[in-house]
Amino acid sequence: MTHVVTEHPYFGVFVLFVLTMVAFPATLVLARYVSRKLAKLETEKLKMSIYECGPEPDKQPNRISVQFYLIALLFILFDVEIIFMFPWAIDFKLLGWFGFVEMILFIALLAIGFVYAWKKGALEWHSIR
Amino acid sequence: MLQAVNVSMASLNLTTLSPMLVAVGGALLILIIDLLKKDMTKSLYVMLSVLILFVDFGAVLSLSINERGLFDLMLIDGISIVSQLIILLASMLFIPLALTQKRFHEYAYPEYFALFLFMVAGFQFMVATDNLILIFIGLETASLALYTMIAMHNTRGSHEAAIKYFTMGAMAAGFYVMGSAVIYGISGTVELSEVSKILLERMSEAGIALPIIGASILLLVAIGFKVSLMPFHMWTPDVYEGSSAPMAGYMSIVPKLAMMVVAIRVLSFYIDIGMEPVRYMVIALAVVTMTFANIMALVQFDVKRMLAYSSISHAGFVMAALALDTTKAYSGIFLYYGLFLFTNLGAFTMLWITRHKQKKYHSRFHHPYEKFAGLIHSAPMGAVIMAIFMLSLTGVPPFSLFWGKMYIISATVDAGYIWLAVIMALNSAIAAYYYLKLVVYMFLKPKPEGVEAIGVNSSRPLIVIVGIAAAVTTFSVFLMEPMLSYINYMVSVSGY
Repeated sequence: MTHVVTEHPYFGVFVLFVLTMVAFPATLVLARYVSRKLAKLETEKLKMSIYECGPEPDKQPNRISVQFYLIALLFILFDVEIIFMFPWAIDFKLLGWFGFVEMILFIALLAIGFVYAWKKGALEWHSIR
Repeated sequence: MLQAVNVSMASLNLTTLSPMLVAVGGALLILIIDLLKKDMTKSLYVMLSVLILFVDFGAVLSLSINERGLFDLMLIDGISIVSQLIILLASMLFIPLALTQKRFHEYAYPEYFALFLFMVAGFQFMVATDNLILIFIGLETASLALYTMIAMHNTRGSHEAAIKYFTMGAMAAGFYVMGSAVIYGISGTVELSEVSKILLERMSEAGIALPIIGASILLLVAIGFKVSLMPFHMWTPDVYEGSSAPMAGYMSIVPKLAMMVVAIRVLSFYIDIGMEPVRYMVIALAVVTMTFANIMALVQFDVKRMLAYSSISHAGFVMAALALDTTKAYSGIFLYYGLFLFTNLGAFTMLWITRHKQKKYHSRFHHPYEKFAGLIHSAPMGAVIMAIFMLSLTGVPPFSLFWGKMYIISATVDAGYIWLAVIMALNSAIAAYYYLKLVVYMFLKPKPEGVEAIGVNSSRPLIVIVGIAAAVTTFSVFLMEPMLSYINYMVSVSGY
């Protein structure tokens, strides 16, 4: 019976899945426990917050500057687009000139977007034109 | 040693992509001009947009029919060319409306025009493919640009409208993706032509009907949201009221037409594989939409909201033609939208011309009926032109929409749905009340005391656009023959 189960092509994925389900909450709980034990609570109030940084997810007393979100958005945008370059870099020889030209076009479009964000002052703090 | 991938440029057939590339390239050009040199006047950007749309128009006209390109993603058939032409025509009429002399928040940004061109490219992608993923990408590109453009009007109402439209649109997109995922799940491909081939072989399998019908319901909900059919129409009047008047007119034509083309592809695929219940669902939606939207339009106090409900009702009318699945009915859809474009955009532009910044006539509405009372005395030309648009929307013979209505109703009778034709005719009769109510206000009611003449926002480009719309609406009888033969040829050549 066990033999059949381990033969299944996705058994490894299932193991990883279970491991992640357990390990991810466990890490969070552990980190929280450790940081609360070790922190000097009278001086470091931030240690009590969930991720120890960033805005609180609820009961926000003051508004958060929109700049945080702008920077985060730009970061995610360029970050995700970099991901497209990894498969191309791995199969560089296989894709040949066609892939090269395609990627140059992609980077050129990305560069226009980057220059646009830069010129509009999205990368500077508090200076949207 | 691995063999390098060789893609021959001839098989890629990049000409099929050229219209969209023109629009996207033009949008990037506008952005770059803004980066290089700030403080250019808006007329430069307007003219540049019109020029790019002209080049785009030419690129569409030069496409050859029934071709595929870009790894078989693009499908250039007759209906995609006709719908792209209608989309570009509406865009070319819409964008010069930015040349008002009043200052509006959205036109101060060059990004508005760039977003507009991105949106046009998105709609073109949507109609020029039968690949469910590319349809989705086109839909999202266009919708996201559209939400932003609505919000850029920068009034309280327009923010509300943009948020409402965004929430509803996101939900509709979710339904669309779920439907596509189910179709992919049962067939293993996302190209509708391939899907119908695979499913035709598998139709006898037990239990296959359930996912097929389920996918059709999900896709119909998404289509219903975008075309604003009756149970999914809630956002439409509020969004139209909040956005600027020409934007509302544009929204009543182009996004609906683009989604209608998607609906044609999806529905004809369902009829190909013999799923008759889907046809009945579409007919039911269409009848409900026509009737109830008409009844709701009867009780509106605001002309803009009335036009919003009337455009819902018109969408239902066209949706009924969609369910017939005959060449004549499909031609009727494009004929109807080709005529509706001029009339409806003209009617909304008249609202744009009579726009006041403050709500002078009513505490809630910008364009109540009372505002137009006695317009014949203060602005005779404007009153006559508005009356032409209203009579055309009613379907009074010499004006354009009469021909569209007649063609669709005759297609319905030919297909054997006499009762549906009767419902359509009755609905046109009900609609006469609220269109003619405005005509009565303009021509027969006295002008209220102490109110200055309207016609605040008029400038030459706006008057030219209204003139073109009024001329096409009035003299459409001369256009009918060439338009019909062209559309008929295009639709029959693409196999519908």
